[in-house]
Amino acid sequence: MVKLSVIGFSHFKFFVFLVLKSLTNRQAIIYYEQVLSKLAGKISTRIASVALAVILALIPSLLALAEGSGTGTITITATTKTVLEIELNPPSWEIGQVGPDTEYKTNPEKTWCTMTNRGNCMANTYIKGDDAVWTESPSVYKWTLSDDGSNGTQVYVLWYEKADQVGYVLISKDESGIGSEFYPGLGMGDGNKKQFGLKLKAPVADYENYFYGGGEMETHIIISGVAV
Amino acid sequence: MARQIKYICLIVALSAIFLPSFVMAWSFSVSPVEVKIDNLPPGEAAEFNLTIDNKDNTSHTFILTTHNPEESERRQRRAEFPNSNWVSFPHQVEVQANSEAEVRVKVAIPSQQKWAGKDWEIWLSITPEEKELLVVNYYIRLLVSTSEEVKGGPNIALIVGIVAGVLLLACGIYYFRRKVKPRHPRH
Repeated sequence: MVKLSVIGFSHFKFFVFLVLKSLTNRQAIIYYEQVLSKLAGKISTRIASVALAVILALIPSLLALAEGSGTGTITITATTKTVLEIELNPPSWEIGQVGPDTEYKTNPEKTWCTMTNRGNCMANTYIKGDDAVWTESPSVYKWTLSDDGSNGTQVYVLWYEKADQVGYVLISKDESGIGSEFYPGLGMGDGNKKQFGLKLKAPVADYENYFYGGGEMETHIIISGVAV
Repeated sequence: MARQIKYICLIVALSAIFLPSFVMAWSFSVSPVEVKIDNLPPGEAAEFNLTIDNKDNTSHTFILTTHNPEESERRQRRAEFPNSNWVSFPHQVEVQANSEAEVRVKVAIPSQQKWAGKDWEIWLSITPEEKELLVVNYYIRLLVSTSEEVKGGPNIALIVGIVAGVLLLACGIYYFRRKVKPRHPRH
């Protein structure tokens, strides 16, 4: 207590000294050094060590404070029992050899493929097609999927027809999207299964860029499902 | 005559086979179908698992990507996810025959005030690598809502201040203790 009084008194003395005497900075510093030297002599090593230890002990808490405090709780909701599963049967079409500018239909025409939702939630489904490529060298030769229903040189057409509807619907590429709406709100189980067929029209005869007979062309029709 | 021969040759040349291999139907499933992350502060990350169930008798590799759905396909009041790179996951997963595999997905939002208090939607796409003519592709809805609070990194200024304060205190004590030490008398 006495020591604290001495410290307070010394600071006060220094303050008064600065204000009243209007000395130069150099003189003030010299005076302050003298005062602090006296103080340091009075403060024992033990007190200084305790002060340093307290500051060091506080550092982790201060660091935690510096990182900022979070009061919210992150919530992740995911019902693991919900399952998405769509079955397509058959998944491939044995079309065989195709000639130029000719149409091919699945057999049976409208009920060739059955789509069943085997999951436990309703699903929106979408459909899109892709270019057909020569399997041996996809970059060398391909048929571009038509986006207007007409075939051309190295341009082929794909359609689907639903069993419960009349008329073929064009399948387009939609590279960046998920495709056109196919069966929205597809219900679960065999009771809600859907059937459809496909139609393909080959490119017209090409006098310049043809590939060798017997070559395999490969394409895909992507049927996407997302929970309603 | 020459032109007719050329045309016949061309028809033969254009005759192509549309993958006549016979393939049995197989299916796979994914779970969950929707993941909702709420109150995620910008600067923090959240993780969850997806399960892919391969119901075929052979192993299959699945390709995982992200897809930003159109506004009409998103849930109500959900905006487009700003950057698909904030969602990280393995891009290929091999699942053994008649087995399940878990896929860890991490969503990390950068620590910026402009990402606070937002509601976004992005889809995770899962499709088999080996494809038949008809391919099934699943989309998992990922709904992310950020909190108003921004989780900042360490406050560098405060840390520097603490370190500087401790150093100054230590130097001060050392300096003044040296000054008050009595000098050795000269002989």
